[in-house]
Amino acid sequence: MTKHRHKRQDRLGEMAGRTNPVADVWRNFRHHPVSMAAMIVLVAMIIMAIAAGFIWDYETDVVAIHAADRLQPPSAAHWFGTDDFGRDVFIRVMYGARYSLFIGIVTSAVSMVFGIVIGASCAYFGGAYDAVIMRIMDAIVCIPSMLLMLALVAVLGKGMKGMIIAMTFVSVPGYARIIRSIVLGVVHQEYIEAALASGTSHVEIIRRHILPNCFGPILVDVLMSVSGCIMSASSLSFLSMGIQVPAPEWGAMLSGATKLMQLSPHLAIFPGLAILLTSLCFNLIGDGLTDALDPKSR
Amino acid sequence: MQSDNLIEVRGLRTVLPLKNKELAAPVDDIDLDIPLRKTVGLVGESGCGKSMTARSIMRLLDYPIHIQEGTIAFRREGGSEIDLAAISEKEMRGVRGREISMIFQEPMTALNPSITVGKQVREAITLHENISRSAAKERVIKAFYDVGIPEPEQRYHAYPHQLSGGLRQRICIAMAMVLQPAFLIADEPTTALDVTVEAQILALMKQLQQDNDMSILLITHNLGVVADICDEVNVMYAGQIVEHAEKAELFRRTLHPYTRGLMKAIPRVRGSMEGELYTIQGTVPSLSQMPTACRFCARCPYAQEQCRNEMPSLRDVGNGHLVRCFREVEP
Repeated sequence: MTKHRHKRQDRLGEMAGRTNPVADVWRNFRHHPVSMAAMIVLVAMIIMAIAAGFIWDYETDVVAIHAADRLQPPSAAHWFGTDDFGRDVFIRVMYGARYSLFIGIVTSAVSMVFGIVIGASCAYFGGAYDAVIMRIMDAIVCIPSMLLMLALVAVLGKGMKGMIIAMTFVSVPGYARIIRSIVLGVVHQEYIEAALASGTSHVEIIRRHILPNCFGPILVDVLMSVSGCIMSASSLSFLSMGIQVPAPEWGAMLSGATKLMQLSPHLAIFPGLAILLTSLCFNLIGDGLTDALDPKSR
Repeated sequence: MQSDNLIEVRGLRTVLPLKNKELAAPVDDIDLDIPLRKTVGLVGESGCGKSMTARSIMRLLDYPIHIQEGTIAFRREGGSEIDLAAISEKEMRGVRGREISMIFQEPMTALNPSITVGKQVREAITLHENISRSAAKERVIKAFYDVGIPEPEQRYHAYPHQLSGGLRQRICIAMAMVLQPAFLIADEPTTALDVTVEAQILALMKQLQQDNDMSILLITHNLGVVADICDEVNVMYAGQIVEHAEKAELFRRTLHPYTRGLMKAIPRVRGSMEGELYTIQGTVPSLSQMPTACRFCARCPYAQEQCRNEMPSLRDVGNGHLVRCFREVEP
C-alpha cells in the first residue's frame, strides 16, 4: 500500500517538475534492496582496498615471511589465519582487493571504450565496413578466450600490463557485438533522422544522440563483465601467468593454497570467498540497474 | 531555373539495389517545382515514394539507397543556385537545418528522449551559428513562443516524455523553424495527431509560412489536409508523379483514375450511409516487378489495350494541369 502511494507521488512529482533521467534511474535503483546491499558492500571494498595501502606496509605486513607463525588457523590475532610463510591471510586478502578491483575495472573500462568505438561505428555506418569488422570480431571470439589470453601473455610477458592488454583484446569483440546490437536499436529512431535533418555531423550524432540513449544497457553490460574480468584475472594469476607471487592477488593466493588445502582449508576459502563476493556484487548491481533502467521489466 | 521557383527537381531517380544486383527505383523520374512562398502537396498511398522523394531532396537516404540521376536545383539565400544532388555531404550539412529543414510524422519519437527539449532546439542553432548559449536560449524561447507553446521558459527544461503529442510537434516545428529556413519539408506532420490538434498545427504552419516567406513541401495521404493548406498538388503513384495541378483545378477537374479513386475513397459526412466505402482494388506493384507499361493499369477500371503496352507520359492538358494517362476525355 505504502509502496504504491510512493510510486504515485513519484509520478505526480515527475509531471509537475523537471526530472532528469539519471535521477529517475537512481530512484528506481534505491528500491532494490539486494542491489543496494551489493552496492554498499562494493563501496566498502573499494574503501578497504584504498585504505589497505595506508594501514599496512607492503614490505613488512603483506609479503614479509614470519616463519614462527606458519599455517595458523583463524584466530583473534589472525582473523583469516596465516599461510605457509606465516603471512596474515586477512591482510593479504584485503590488500588483494587492490589488484582485483583495479584490473577488473580498468580492463572493463578500456574494453568498453574500444567496444563503443567499434560497435557504434559498425551499427551506424553499416554496409561493408560493418561486415568486415564484425567478421574479424567473430574470428577472435572463435578462439577459446583462455587459450588466447595465455598465448598473448606469453608474448607480452607476465605481469599486470601484459595481463590487462591480453584480457582487453579478448573481451573487446564481445563488447563490440553487444554494443552494436544496442546501438542498432536506436539508430533507426526518428530523432536520429531529425538530428541529421538539422545538419548534425555523424560523429556528433553518435556522441550526442546515440550513446546517451544506449548508455544504460551498455553500463549494465560493463558492470556484468567486471566480474568476468576479475575471474579471468584470478584464473591467469592462478596459472601463474598474471600477477606474480608473493603479491597477494586472490588467484595467486588460491594457487599457492592448492597443495595445502586439506591441512589448512582457510588458505583457499578466504581468497575464494573474496573472488566470489566481488563478482557477485558487480552482477547484483548490474541486475538492479537493468530493472532500474526499465521498471516495466520487473 | 524559373525565377519564381525555390526548388526545381528534374528527372530525379533514386534507386535501391536489390538482392539480385538489380536496381529498383522507389523514386522514378520525378519532376517537381516548389514555387517561392507556396505550399506544395505530395499525395499518395504508403510506399508510393513520397517520403523517399523528400529524403532525396534532403539527401537523408540510408545506404545503399542513392540518387542515381537527376538534379535538384535550389535557390540559396542571396540568389545563387546549387544542385543539392551534386554537392558534397559537408556542404549539404550546412544546408540542412539552416536553409532546408524537416518535420516528421511521429512527434513521439522525433525528439531525443534523454535531452531536454530546450537544449535540443538550442543545439539546432549552435550547429550553424556561433552565438553564446544565453543568446541561443533566448532565441529558443522566442521560437517556442512563436509556435504557441505556453510557458516557454518552463517548457525549455522539460524532457520530451513530459509533453503531449501536440506540444511535441510544436517543439519539432520550433526546431525546424528556429533558423528561418527558406524551405520546410513536412513529412505527414499531423498523421499521428488527433483532428483538433491537427487543425491547430496546420493553422500554425500557415501562419509561420506567411511570417517567414517560406515554401513548404507537405507530404500527406490525407486529401483533407491538402484541401486545407496546399496551393499546388502532386499525386504520386508507384514512384512516379501521375497528376499535378493547382489545388482548385485538381479538385474541380480530377483526371487521373488513381486520383479519382483517392477522392472517392474519402468517407463523407453527408450523403447516403448505404453501401461500402469505395476502395481502390489491388495493391501497388512491387518494386522488383515494376511494369514497363502504365503502373496503375492493373488496378484501373478504365484500362485499355494501350495502357498494358506503353508507359504514358506526363502531358499537359491545359491550365497547368499535368496527367500521366492515355485517356483523352474525362470518363
